[in-house]
Amino acid sequence: MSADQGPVTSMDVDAAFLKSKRGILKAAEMVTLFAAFVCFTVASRPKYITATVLELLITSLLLSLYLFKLNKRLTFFFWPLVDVCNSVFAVVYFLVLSLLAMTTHTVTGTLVGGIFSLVLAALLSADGYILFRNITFNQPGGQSQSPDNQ
Amino acid sequence: MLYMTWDEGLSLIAKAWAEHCMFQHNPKLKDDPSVHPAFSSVGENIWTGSPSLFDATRAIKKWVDEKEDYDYQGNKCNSVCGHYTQVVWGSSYKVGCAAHLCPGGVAGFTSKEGVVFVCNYATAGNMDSARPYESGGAACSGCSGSCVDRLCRDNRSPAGAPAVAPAVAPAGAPTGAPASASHYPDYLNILIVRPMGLLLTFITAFALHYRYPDVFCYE
Repeated sequence: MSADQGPVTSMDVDAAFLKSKRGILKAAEMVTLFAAFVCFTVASRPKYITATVLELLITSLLLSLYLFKLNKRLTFFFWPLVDVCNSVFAVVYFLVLSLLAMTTHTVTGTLVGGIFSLVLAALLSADGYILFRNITFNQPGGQSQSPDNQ
Repeated sequence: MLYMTWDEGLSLIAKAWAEHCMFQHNPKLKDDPSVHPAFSSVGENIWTGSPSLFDATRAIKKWVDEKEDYDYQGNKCNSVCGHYTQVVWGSSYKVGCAAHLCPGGVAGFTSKEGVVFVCNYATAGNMDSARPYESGGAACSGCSGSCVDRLCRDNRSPAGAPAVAPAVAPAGAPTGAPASASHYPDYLNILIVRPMGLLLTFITAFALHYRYPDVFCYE
């Protein structure tokens, strides 16, 4: 369902993305998620383990999307909007989960996992906000220079 | 004595409290007797012990074994009988249980790994220091519904729900109940909510893109 433009070339890796602000944020999200996953595993709370594993999956898919420049190939979706909406949902979702984890914790693992989830929510909101600032809704597409780019 | 059936809501209350890993009664049942919207009161039995000793049937038998100390005629108790009288309480007709493994110990019981097994009953028993059930001649003598296995299947149930649910758990022995209330594992919510959220994300993004076809993102 992809590769409708030009000959299929080998996948180029956008290593520069990893060094960009958002690349670093995404990587930090992955690390935080993994830390939360370890905590919840130690505390054996299946609900939170499931949540972190699912989120790891989603974040790694988004990261590889940018890393392999798939966002340029799969143009059916406007990926920045998908990413922002996903961040908004994930922020609310992890805020709720972390508060739940911290208020119902009985072992330290759940508490620390909850704190990591809170950190994750902060990272996600930063990620979403930075990306959202770069999106303009009424600009004719394709014009790279724009006078009113704030 | 009313026929007793499983109640998912009661098992969730039990689960929520078991997860606190405390060997004491759920304070919510006292503060707010209407924790379950369908019942005016909820009773509770708790068993705690090491995971190797845990078995739902044995835990419930332990409660029922208090019968030894209970004297029905005099309505007197030699030591502890409240668990037994709750199990056989005539007007309690719904039960929900849950067990939780507490790796960090159970407050008020042990600092080692333990299991908390909670059963909630509705409506609550042990009221007004009355006898748990009437003993007036034939079984079901005061029953307005049908009488099956000497238990009354009354139609009086809250919210119009039939008192006789398909899940069968005979009165006094809800042993068919899974130990962990695993009808409804809590990670299932997550497995539903998160993918739904992702779907919603894509739909929203698509709708926004449709509404603003000129949307553009600076690299």
